[in-house]
Amino acid sequence: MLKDRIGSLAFAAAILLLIPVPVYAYLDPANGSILLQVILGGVAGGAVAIRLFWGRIRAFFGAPSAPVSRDDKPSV
Amino acid sequence: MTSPRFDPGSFRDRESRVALHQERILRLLSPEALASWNALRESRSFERAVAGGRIVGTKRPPDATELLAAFPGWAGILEHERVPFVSYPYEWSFSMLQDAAILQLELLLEALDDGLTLKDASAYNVQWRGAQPVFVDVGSFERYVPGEPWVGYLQFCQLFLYPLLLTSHRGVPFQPFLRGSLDGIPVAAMTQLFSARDWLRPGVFADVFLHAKLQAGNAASRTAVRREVRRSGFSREMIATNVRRLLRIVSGMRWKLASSEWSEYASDNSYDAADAEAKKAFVTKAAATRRWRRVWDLGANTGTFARIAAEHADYTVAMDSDALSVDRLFRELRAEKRRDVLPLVANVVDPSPGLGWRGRERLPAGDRGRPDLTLCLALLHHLVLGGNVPLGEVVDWLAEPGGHLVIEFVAKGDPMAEKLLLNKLDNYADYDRDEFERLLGLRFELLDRLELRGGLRTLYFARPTGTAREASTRP
Repeated sequence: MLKDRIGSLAFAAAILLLIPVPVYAYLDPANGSILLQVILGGVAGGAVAIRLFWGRIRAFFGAPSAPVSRDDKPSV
Repeated sequence: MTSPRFDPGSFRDRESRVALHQERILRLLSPEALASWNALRESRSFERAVAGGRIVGTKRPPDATELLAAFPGWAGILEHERVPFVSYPYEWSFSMLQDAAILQLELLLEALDDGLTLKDASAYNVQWRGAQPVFVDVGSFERYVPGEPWVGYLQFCQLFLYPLLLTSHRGVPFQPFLRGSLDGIPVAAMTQLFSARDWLRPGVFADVFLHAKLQAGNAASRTAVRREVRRSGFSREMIATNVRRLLRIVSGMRWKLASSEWSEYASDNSYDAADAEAKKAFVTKAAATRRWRRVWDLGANTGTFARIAAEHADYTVAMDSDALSVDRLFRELRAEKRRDVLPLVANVVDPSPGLGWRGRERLPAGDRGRPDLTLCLALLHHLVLGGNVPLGEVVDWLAEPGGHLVIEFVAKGDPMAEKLLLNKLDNYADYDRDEFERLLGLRFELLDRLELRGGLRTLYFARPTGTAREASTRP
């Protein structure tokens, strides 16, 4: 039983290690620059822009918006 | 034996720092940076770029364990090949910054193909092997996380794109701007330098005007834009589209300045053909007396004498204050695929100072490796009669590196010297050949001397005596 649990934990840990997580770089990409990259991102950028601004419209009309968490702040 | 120490200019990225140990260049890696390095060295693009000289040679040093012991807390260590002479973007010509920008963008595109990205886009991450740009910050590479934007885009604009736009569209030299701010030209300042009439010029409307508007509108926002964008499906392809667009803009830029006061010097000086040949022969003879490790050619202009010296030197740095001359020399050297001559925009009377944190992040030229041979041809009259530097101070300064010297004295009667005094009061009593020879004798031992143009120009080859024999400047 214990062996199975350790095995499951090791498997989960291995999966977690394989999934890249956002570790923010020392440089702040700056909000305006990120948004401009959406605009300059070609056809794919258009689709992202629609989803992005639709999300903002929904948030404006009361849909819950994502709070700023520590993860969203760049490391200094 | 000196103990290993951190490079004073390498601290911004906490995951990867450069350290110096004797003559070796080391890079310390955090656990995250070590994982990125492992991904990078297994990528196809990295091997190709190193083989082509586009990324600096990098390996795990054989004594890694002992070296790491001197830096507790770091997970990995690498050793880089040495770049022959460190230079900074404010010392490069237009075409040099352009080539460095293209290298930065190409490496990013190749990295994206391999599932990697660059965490920054600093022009200081590029150095030179002669006329070839070399990317030196291996620590910039990291694994690309799906949904993440290009973090270095703003930095690329500030340190590469805006300076290039300023020179190509406005004809304004970018070097003083980059020297004035290590972070480059801010987007808010850049938008003030262009008007609506420039909007149709490539790069101006989107990368400058729109960029400034979006920055101003979102700078104070508490919205987690980065996460919003990730959740909305931002992709690697979008970065690649933007980078390809920037590559087209940067590659298409031209500096339209057709001529400058100095760039025509080679065909517009007071030498006749026979004297010009005699001068070349004198410099060739002096340069051929031994093998030099590093030569500085001050006032290199078209690079004629830097090329002569380079035949007998490991590396030659050809400096001139005229950016157009340097640009022309660079383009020639690039076409010849020269790796042993580095052209730089540098003014002897207004040299690169120590800049950045504690004034040691970017070093003065003399602190980046001193020459064992200095050429100072057709420059002295500019320093004294043009720059008002006392003659004795110039000689003292030339003796500082402790290397040999080839110098030309241009007398006041020479047309080029006369030109400098046309509209000036001649209060340069110290500017006299006998006085120059006296001052030279205090610091150097004369090895060779040649008079040209009936004594209006005199060439000297001298070696340092080590210490001044007496006070070199008269009261």
